[in-house]
Amino acid sequence: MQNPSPNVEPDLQADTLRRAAIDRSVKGPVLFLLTNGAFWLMASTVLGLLAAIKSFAPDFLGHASFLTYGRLQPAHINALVYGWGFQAALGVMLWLMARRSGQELRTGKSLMMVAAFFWNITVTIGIGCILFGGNTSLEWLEMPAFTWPVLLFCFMVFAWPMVSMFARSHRPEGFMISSWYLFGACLWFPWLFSTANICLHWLPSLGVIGAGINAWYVHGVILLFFVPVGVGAAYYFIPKITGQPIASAQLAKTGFWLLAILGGWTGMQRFMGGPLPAWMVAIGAMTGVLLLIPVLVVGLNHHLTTLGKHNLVAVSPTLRFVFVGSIFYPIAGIILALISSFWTGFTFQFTHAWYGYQIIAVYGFFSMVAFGAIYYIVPRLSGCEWLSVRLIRNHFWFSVYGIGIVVVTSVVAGLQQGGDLTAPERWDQSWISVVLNARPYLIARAVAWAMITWSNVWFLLHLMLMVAGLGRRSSAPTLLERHDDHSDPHLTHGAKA
Amino acid sequence: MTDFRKLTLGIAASFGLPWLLLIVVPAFKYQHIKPIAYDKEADGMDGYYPQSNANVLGMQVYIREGCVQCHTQMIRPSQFSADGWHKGWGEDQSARPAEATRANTMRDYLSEDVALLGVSRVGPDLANAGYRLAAMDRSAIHAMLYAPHSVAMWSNMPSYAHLYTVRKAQGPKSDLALPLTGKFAPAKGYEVVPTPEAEQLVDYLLSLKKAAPLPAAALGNLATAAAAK
Amino acid sequence: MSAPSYNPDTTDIDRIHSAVKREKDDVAAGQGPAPMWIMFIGMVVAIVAGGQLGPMAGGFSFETSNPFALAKAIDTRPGGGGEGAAMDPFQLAMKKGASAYGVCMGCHQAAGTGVPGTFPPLAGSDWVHGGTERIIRVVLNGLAGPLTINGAPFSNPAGMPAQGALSNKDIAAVITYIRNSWGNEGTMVTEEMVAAIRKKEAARTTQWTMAELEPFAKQNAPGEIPAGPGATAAPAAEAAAPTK
Repeated sequence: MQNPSPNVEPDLQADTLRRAAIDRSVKGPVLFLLTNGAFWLMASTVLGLLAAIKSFAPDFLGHASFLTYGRLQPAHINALVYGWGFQAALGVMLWLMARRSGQELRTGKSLMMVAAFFWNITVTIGIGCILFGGNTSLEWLEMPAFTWPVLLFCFMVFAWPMVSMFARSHRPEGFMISSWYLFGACLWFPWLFSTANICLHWLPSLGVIGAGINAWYVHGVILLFFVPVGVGAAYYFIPKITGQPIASAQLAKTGFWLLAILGGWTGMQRFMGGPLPAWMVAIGAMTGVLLLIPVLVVGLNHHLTTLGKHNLVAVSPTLRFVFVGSIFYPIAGIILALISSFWTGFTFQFTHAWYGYQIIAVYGFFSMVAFGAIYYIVPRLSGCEWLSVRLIRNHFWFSVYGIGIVVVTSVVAGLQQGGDLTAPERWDQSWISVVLNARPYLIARAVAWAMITWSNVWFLLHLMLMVAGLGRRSSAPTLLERHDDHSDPHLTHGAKA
Repeated sequence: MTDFRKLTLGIAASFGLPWLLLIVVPAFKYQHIKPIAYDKEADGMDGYYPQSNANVLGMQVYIREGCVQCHTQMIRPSQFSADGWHKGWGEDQSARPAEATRANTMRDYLSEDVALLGVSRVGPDLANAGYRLAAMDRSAIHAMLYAPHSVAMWSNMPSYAHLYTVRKAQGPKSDLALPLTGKFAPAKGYEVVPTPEAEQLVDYLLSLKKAAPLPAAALGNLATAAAAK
Repeated sequence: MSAPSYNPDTTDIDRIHSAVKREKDDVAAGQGPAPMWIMFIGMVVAIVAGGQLGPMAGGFSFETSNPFALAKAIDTRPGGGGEGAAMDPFQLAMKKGASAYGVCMGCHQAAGTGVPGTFPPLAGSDWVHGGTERIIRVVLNGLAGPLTINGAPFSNPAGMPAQGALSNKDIAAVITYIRNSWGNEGTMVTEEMVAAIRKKEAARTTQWTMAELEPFAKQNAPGEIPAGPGATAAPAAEAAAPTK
């Protein structure tokens, strides 16, 4: 966006119209993706609640085959990742990339709608298969083998235009770190996805190497898809709302390249002490800890960017969600380092802590940032403002408390379980103690998912009303607190837009 | 101004390297991994390692039911865990094993398309469940799958009742009928019998034996390093 | 103005575009150098992370999954574990006795000093040094009534409770332990000795008194003592190092 001189009104008008045109061009696919994603979010949290209850009360709701924990838990994770995570990510990426590259999406809109439609159909069939006897028991790839080519194709339908927009983009102010991250995500995910699926479904037997590839894939999707999209979106929205530039381009570039270099190496330390070649596990452990550096760098950059503007976190829903996401991010990095390093990893291995890490990465960090992005993007696409401050607050607080409880209880349960399994003085402990010790944490987890389900009901409702055009018709944004115009983050000063 | 080409090359190179070294090359090398013959002199026994293969049909049932969510199949070295000393987790089923169950290696999983190492250890490790379950009656194993609570009231294991049929008892008690009592028993005149899937699953569980001794040749560079000493 | 029914494509540019209009400028990122301290923290993290490579990398061989496969399994189980069978029985008894002594510590104190007037000491006690028949009986069935130990009087209304609920192995271990701790030196007591006496006194339901135990004061329980430090009353200082 050019910095127009204060006196040139037509330039300003043209710029506003151009951005509005970009918004209009991506409106259909983005809103379709986000709405479907929100439905899947609802489904995944309900499945998560059910799975959590079944983990300590296996007789709850009877003994039907599709209600066993072994099927409910993968269904929950797959719905969260592929149903909600990818659709929210693609929706946000599409809008961000179009805006960032300053280009309208000219062709391929219908193809995108069809692709989104098929994505949802495929995920529905996939989750159904998991529940009714087609579970592959490959982490994050539990959907049957026939789903992956469809999902890959649908993803490419979105990724290709984004990549070409990025290639053609012209930004006078130089590089924009958000686009780099989103572009990276567009390259990394198809590479990860096709490699993992070809190796695990097409190649002849791979034994323990297959298990290693599976673990590599899960870490890869977290670190090289969800993290880049979340960080890229945060790098866009924090300066946008605070009005301050990103504190350091050098830190931004360093963070990006460190993530790019390290992200592909980690994952196999999941099976430390196991049958995988020791050096593959050791490299995974090393890079898992090294990833603390880009986390630190990005965290510092975000912190320095928001310096002095923390009051806006109380006002702007977008900034509030993105800010909380940015706090969950270093915590996720620390948890990854704890489960990856050899000193602490053996304690957390094969415990609930792994689930806690998945949730903090996909929900605590990525989804919170995605929510913030959604609260920003949807008014611009639907032409109306969010209806109710109360609904936004409800969504925010129940999500934060819920995620916090899930993560904390999972990590602490992991510590407890890990101690039971590895402590020398408990070598002859009967299994009943292991089970009973973990029980209170599982109950807390179920309560937390109930809270999150509650918050998502209102989010879904709110989003559907907005998409139907039933939001508030107003030129003032829906803010979380009343402020006079001087500190309103969404009003510009002077003529700059 | 972002140099698109440089950025793409940088991303491709930085991801391509681990992709090559961690995924592609090991996947190719694994195709050459084969069972190793025991050396009569060095190992004191005949035959091939691994000694037992997992029952493939039952493995499909295990995979379908998502057992990996709660059960692992991986014994870790005693330097880092108490896995090797747990009662019943190895070939030695005594309460206080004299020797630690050995950590599992790559060839223990040769018969599996993707090694079912497990997601978390909510329930006991099953790497050597074959030894543990061999002491039980087959119908008792079925009873454990049908109604885990009948074996342990505190268990969180789901009941796999859908792998069993409740049918009208035909005459005297069938050999296949599960020994269930109390509230777990079916209605009077009925019996619970396993379906073919349940039988395959039990066959699979009984085939889980990953504690065969390691031949010297399987130790890779450790063997050569030891020989060089 | 806006049409009566809402239509996003109306000509109400001001309202529709208000959200876009109020957006802030995109500004280039700051070009200043990054703070130095983060480089140092990064280096520390890198060094810690680098520590993951090393012995755990197994020499970068594809065939090695456990770099410690040839190393002897570390037995961290308390109480000796696999080596227990090979460990000298006296050492094993001292180890087990030390932990079993926790039951006695409440009254006889951690250093075997007892409480003057109430709980007799075990360190330097003639009852502990004397015939094992007496001390085994005391532990099995308890002791009541006024006592004189090492010339000092002790009395305690409830007396010493019977410890017969402990296994023979544990009783033997704890007696061996107290006979060889805090300056005491004595031969070890074995499980068989305790079992024999328990059988002999099976009918007994009440605590012993000092007078009743007089006949046993100088008799050692019959039974074979395994050769080694446990067989002599000489100080086996190296072997008797109390471990916990």
